Amino acid sequence: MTVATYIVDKDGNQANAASVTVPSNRDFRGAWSLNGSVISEDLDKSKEIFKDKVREVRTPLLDAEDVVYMKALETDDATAKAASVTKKTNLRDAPAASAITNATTIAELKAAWDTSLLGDSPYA
Amino acid sequence: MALTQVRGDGLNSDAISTVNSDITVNSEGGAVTTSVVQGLAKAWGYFVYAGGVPSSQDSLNVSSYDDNGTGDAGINFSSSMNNDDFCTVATQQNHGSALTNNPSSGRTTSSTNVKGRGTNYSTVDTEQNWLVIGDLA
Repeated sequence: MTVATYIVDKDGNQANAASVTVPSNRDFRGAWSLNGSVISEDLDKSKEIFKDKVREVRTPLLDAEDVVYMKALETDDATAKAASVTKKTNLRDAPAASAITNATTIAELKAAWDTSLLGDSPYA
Repeated sequence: MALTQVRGDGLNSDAISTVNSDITVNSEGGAVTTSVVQGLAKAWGYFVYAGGVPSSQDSLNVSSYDDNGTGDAGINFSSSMNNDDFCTVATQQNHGSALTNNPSSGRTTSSTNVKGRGTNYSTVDTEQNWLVIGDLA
């Protein structure tokens, strides 16, 4: 027996998955929005999801940077301390990056991932 | 609920009949009896993420799945449960170092819900095996 799957979009609208066109991936599943027989990704909601992913990824990076700072503090290395402070500030500011705010397409949003700060992109 | 009778010599199509739901059997140690019907799975399924949505591979007593979001699947029963206090057990494909699942939310007599979880407890799309035990209506 075939078991149907019904997609529930971000607003609670429901459609049989076999009857609608869905995005090619589920990177921004929580932003799916049903319009007729097509499901698209709501850009504003996608940005929220993207920012949440940045916050998730930066958490262990901030933890690691705390260790770097403490070592610099122990050796009274002013240069290392300043570099660590800068990195932590950049990590804290990462969700507010202008590239995210200014993205006008999903492709631009994915490209807004700062690999130099956050590492490999989950959207690559 | 009725059961198909299986005799000692196997399933005999000429002898198929139903038995009452209060059928009990002796325990292995012989000290007690146990209910056969209450010990049966009332629904089960295995689904993977294919074609962009959860896709059923095989199931029992499932009318449809709801794709509620990332890693969040609703399961709708063909035949309802007697109450919403049934037991849902689920496992997921290992995702990183985590093997977690949250089958507790969104239960009604006609549906249950499973969620795949990642290492940081965020929901993830991952294949699921799940099972429901309890009383059918």
